[in-house]
Order: sequence, then C-alpha cells, then structure tokens
Amino acid sequence: MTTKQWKSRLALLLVGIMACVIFAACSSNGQNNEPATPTPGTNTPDNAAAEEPKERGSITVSVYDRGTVPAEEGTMDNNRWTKWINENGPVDVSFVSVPRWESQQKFNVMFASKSAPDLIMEYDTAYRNQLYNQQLIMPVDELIENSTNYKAMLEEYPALRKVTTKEDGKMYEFARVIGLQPNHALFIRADWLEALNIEVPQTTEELFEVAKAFKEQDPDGNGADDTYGMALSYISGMIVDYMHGSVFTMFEKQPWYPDANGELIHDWDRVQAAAEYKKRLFDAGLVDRDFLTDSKGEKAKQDFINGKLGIWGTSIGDFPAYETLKQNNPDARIQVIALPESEFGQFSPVLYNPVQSVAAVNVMAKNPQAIMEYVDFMVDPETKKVFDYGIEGEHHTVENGCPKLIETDEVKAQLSYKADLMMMFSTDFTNECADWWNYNESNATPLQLEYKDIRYDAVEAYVSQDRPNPAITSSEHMPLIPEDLQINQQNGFKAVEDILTRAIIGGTGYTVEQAIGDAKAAWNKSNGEKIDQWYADWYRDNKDSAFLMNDMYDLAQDVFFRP
Amino acid sequence: MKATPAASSTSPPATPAQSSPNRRRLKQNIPWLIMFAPVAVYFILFKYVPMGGLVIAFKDYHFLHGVWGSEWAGLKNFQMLFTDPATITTIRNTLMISVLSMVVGFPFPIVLAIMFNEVRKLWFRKSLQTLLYLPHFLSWVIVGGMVITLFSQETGAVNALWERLTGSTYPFLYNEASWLTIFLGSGVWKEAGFGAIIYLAALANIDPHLYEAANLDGAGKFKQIWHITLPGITPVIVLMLILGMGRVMEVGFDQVYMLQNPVVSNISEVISTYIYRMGLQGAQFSITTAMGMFEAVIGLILVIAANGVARRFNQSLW
Repeated sequence: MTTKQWKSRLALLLVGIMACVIFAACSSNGQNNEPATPTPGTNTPDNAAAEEPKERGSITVSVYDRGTVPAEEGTMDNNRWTKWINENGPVDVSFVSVPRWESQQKFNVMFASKSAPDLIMEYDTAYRNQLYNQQLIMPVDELIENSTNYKAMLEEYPALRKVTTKEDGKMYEFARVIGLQPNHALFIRADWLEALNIEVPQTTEELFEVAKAFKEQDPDGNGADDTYGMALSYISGMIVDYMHGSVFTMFEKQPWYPDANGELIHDWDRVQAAAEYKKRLFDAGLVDRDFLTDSKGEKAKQDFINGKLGIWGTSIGDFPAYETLKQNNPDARIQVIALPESEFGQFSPVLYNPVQSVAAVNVMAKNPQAIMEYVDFMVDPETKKVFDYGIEGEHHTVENGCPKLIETDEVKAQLSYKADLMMMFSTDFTNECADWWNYNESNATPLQLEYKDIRYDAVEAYVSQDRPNPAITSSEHMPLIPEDLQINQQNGFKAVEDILTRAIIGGTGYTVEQAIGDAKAAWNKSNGEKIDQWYADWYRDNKDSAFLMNDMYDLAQDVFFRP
Repeated sequence: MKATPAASSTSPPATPAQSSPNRRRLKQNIPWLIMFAPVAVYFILFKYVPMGGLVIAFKDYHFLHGVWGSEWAGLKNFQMLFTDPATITTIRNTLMISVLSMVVGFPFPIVLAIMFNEVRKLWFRKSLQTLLYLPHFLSWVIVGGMVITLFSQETGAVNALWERLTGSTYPFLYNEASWLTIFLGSGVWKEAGFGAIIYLAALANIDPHLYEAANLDGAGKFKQIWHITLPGITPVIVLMLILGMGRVMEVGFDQVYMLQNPVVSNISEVISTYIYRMGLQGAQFSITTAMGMFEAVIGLILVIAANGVARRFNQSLW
C-alpha cells in the first residue's frame, strides 16, 4: 500500500469519526433540549387537573443517607417512614438518598445530569448560596403566599424571612427555628480534678497546667502513664481556636472581626495565638501525636469514653458518649466548663444556628405547588409528633398526657434512623413532653437526668453575651463571595491552614511566627487582600440587614435555662 | 483501522455491475468487520463522544444551560488556572510524583518476574506469586488505612520499633521525604506483583534452547539473565515504558487521596485531588476540565515522544 493511499484512508477515517462524534453530539443536544420544552406543557395538564379534586402531585425530595438504616427496615429512600409520608401526606414523594458526607458532590452530579430532586434538603449554606448564584433554585415567595403552616410560622418568626432572603430580595429557602443552644462544649473530668486537687481552669494558662497534670500525674490512679491531657482533633481543636477568639477552624474559615470603628478586619493575631497554643500542647506531649489522622475525632472520643482523656471538646448533643463513659467508668464525673480566658478575652464555642435554612426548590421542579404542600405537611406539629414518638400503640403509649416510648430493641431500631427525614421540624418550645429540658423522673433515665444538668450548665456557660461567640455570624449565614474570588479563597485558606498545621507539629524547626509570615504571603499571593476587602465592603453595606451574631442572641429561649 | 474507511467508502450505493477492487476487498473482510464493529461502537460511544464534553473547558459551564447552552469563555479558564499559585505547585507535584513512581516502580516488576523465573520448585513459586498478587486486589482505602496505622506515632508498629532503637518516635507521615518514601513504597508493595505478570508471560516465550546453549558455553546464572532473559523481554519492557509515559501526568486519585495530609500538602496535592476538590466539591467544572484537558494533552505529547524515541531503536508501537 502506498503512502498516498494510506493518507487518503487516514483522512477518511478521521472524517468518519468526526461525523460520528458530531452526529452523536447533535443527537444528545436534541435530547437535552427536549425536557426543557415540555416543562410548561406538562404544567398545563397539572393545572387543569388541580381544579378537579384529589389529584395528587408527585415530587422528588432528597434525604441524607448515613448508612444507619437497619437492614430489616429497608433503605433510606424506602422504609416505614417514607411510606408513612406517602400514605398520610398530601403528595406522592419519591425520596432520593444522598450520602451525608458527600452530599454536595452527589447534588452536583445530579444537577449536571438534570436529575436533581425537586426539593433539595441541605444544611450547608455555602452550597445553597452556590445554587442560588448559579440560578439553580427558585424563589418561593409566591408559593408561601398559598401556604398554610409554613406561612403561619413565618409570621410568628420574622427571622425566618431574614435568613432565607437572598440578595435580590426574594426568599429562596425554607428554614426552621431551633432556638439558640450550645452546639460545641468543653468537657473536663471533674473527678480527675478532685483526685489531683486542682481547681477548674479559668485561663488558657491554667488549662495548659491542668492538661499537663492530667497527662503526667496519673489522674486515674492506675499506676500507668496512659492518659492524655487534652485532645486536639476535630471539635477539641476548634474549641482551642475559639478560646483565642479565632474563627479559623477546620470547618469555619471567617477570620474577620469588626474593629473599634465597625470595620471588618482580617485578624492574624488570634490565628497565631491559637496555633501557638496547639503547638505548645503538642510539643509538651499532652495530646495524641496522631491527632491529624483523626479528622472526625473518633479516636479522641474512644479515649474519652474509655477514661483515658481528661479534656475533650465535643457536641453537647452527644449523650451516647456520656452513657458509654458511665458504663465503662461508673465513677467518672463530667463537668462542662466555660472556655478559659485568653489574652483576647473570654469566648463561647460554636452555638447552634437558631434559625436554620434547610431546603431549597430546584428551579427545574415541575410541580412547585406540590412541594409547598409537602413542606406544609412536614412542618405540621401533628407530623412532628409522629416522627418524634412513632405511632401510638406501635412505638409508644401515652402516660400522664405524654407519649412514652415502648422500650424494645425492635422499636429502638425502627425509630433509630428517621432524623434525616425530620430536617424541616422546628423546635416546639411549648411542648412539655419532648426534648431534654422536659426530662423528669417519669420520662427519663437517671443518666439522662444527670445529663440534663450538664446541658443546663452548658447553656449558662455559653449562651451569654458576656462571653460572646467570636464569629460575626454563624457560618451558615456568611455571604457568598463571587466565583473567581471563591476559588482564590478556597486555595488561599487551604494553603494557610496547611502552613499552620506544619508549624504545629513541626517541632523547633518551624515556629508559628515563621508560619504566620508564610501564611500571610500565601494568602496575599492568592488574592487575599481583595477577598478581605470584599468581606469588609459586604459588612459595611449589610451590617444592618444581615443576620448577625446579635440577631442570634435575640433568639435565646428561656426554656433552655435552668428554671 | 482498515475497516472504518472501507465501510464509509461504500455508503453511496454503488451499482452492482461495477465490481471495484475496494468492493471485493470489503466482501472478503465482512467477518472481520462484523467482529470489529462492537469495538468501534464501544470506542466511539464511550471514548470519543465524551471527549465532546471538553468544550466546557472553553465555556462558563452552568448546570442549567448544559454543555452546549453555556456561554463561551475563550481561554479564561486556562488563564485563571495558570495564574493561581496553587496550580503550578499542583502540576509540579504531579510530575514529580509520577516520574518518581515510574523510576522507582518500573524495575520492580521486572526484577520480580526474573526472580520468579529462576525459582525451580513449582509449588513454592506458585504460592509466592499468589501472595504477591494479593495486594493488587485490595482497595486503596484498605491499604491506606494499613499504611497510616503502621506508621502512626502512638500505635504504629514501625514507630514502636523505632522508639526502641532511638528512644523517640519519628513523624514518618509528616516529613516530606519520608512521606514520599512511604507513598512510593506502598505503591510498589501493592502493584509490583501484579505488574510482573506481563513480564512472566514474555519470559515464557524465550526459547529454552538458548539457556541450554549458554549453559554449555559455561555462562553462569547472571550472565544468562543479562544476555538471554533481558534481551528476550526488551520489547515488552519498551512497550510498558511507552504506555507508562502516557500516564506520567496522572497520579491515581485513590492512593494520594488516602495517604495525603495537610502537613505534606506542599508535595502531595496533585492534579487528580485538585480536580476532586475544586470540581466535584466546589462545582468549578470548567476550570477543572481545563486542568484535565491540560493533563491529557501533555500525556499525548509524552506518548508520541516516547514512541518516537523507541522508533529509533526499532521498537516503536506504530
């Protein structure tokens, strides 16, 4: 075969392939357009049908999957509770399960393939903001006009409107009210303090000494050097940051604080102080040297419930950890302490966002009205009752006017996984049967009652403006920076965090001071000044209308405090 | 390769009376064409059509407007990519890690295969082979977990030994040099055994007479390996090298993702983890597609270059 022949063949081959590619591309293009056109079309029959009674809408709703559904109960998207919703609710709902810790990747993939659910249930505000910026969610003002329960809730709590309204003045989210409660808490082993005869630490310096004593003086009295003074992974590490007034943690990165003139300033001193403190703890060997691999805090938790850890930061809602600790060490006593005072003042750790947006409506949803009906159904107190206690006779009995759970393993398993279907529910502050503050001898175990006291302590220690939360607002209410700066911010903060981490475990070779210098350089290289300026401008223009920390303190509820 | 042009040349209906040589050849080749068709369809459908998606590297990709409806952005994404300082380090790391993995990882399967070849007891060889293949079938999640546990400071076996020898533990995972060693070592441990298979197959094709003759001439084991075994498998080695060059720009996601930690991010952030972080987590699809395209283009250039070099030694692939 001559070269010429070869060349012509090759050309033909290329033409053939290109033709195939173009053909395929065009055909898929055609498919892409198709769903867009019939959308209005499908709406019309729906509207027509709405005039006839009892035409049920049909929607898709996402639900987090944490892999906790017992095998005999089915799956997260098909179980007794989803069936209950379909049997008792106003619309047909097919649930789409989304892995809890990879929800955004999953949503992104679903949006890209145009199969995202109609109602997107997502806690992460940054992600919902991103959806808003990309015009993937629709305003819900008009829907709420026709709503019943949600509209009533909105009138009772105007804050809901404030947090769900986006830049264009329209509401784009559904939110719930849960009241201002502590989320993170600092636990200390009170029995160890007593055994070593030391006082509750009041300053960061004292805290360091206590951690040192816990590490070195054998507080559990077993004669072995097997205790850690403190933990640094996950929430424990975040609490050290907050102690120094620094909101630059593994999760929240908002190191901007208003100065005396009300201008928002990027503060590096607090970041430095927190990193130096962590480095001291690490170098003194008071913490687990592998804390970096413990990114979810599981190891620290194991250490704590096994009685090997003296000072631990965790979520106050983690009653099971307390229960297990008491099982393992009946003599253990836990105290929640106010965060020790640092040179920047005394602060509180992360609080629960009192008004939390939880859902947004996909702009491609075919039947928004049905979504509103579903939301109304899901915020109905009657629905909440079923989800709180299950079905009467099957999961609970009524005693003294309050439901009491039937204590069998079966019931426990059936009720164990429903929390992620309950994202819409607000806390009912008037209900006298539910939640920890209503626990008494008749409806709670002795351990739960003990823990109720601890929770009251936590509220007193943390829900107070004398020891403010250092953040300008909950991370869930931070504004979304424009996309190009967002990339810079992501990369810049990652660089800063990595540099600081390197300093913390870097020993004498790399001081925090050097690291801060490097971090500033990395931040500036990543357009940091422009980002800082953007937040400063946002704060200047929006500090009156945005939902800030002060607004959060306004939503503190009396029921959380000791009567 | 020959089939497709032949097929497309017949698409205009030819008059039956005319029996061109092309047509005759087509008739002869019908069975081959039928056998080839599924492969062609597979490649077109799953390899070439998705390449169309690369256009979003030149667009402001938006979910709502889709691949075709999004607005053109020109080279903006590439500009953004190459002005971000993180990108440059990422590309440098990718190159460094993959070149090192190749340099370190390449000889091991060959050495292993030759060693297997020299084992005389069949049962011993078989069981050894199985043992060495085994890690290949473990997921990186498992291997990563094992490696991190092994080298951790509080509970790791390696550090327990190290402490006994030197009196203090060593942060193997947090030092860039030792991390890199662990990274490369774990890669070799997992894949070397499986990689040896292809060389074993090549070894089986070497004529045993050559060894007998060498034996008679008084050549020792090492002389035999040097003068018979290695030249015998050289074509396969070159082939593997060319294929390997195509992967120089890609570091498999799983291994790096499982082993990396913030302290060594200066050397451990690579293109695949960057794409995961920015694209899938941050929904920056356009910019990460640009990154992926850059990676693929460099890969293509490297493959062509490697083949060019190989051609000089008459070992080229095409």
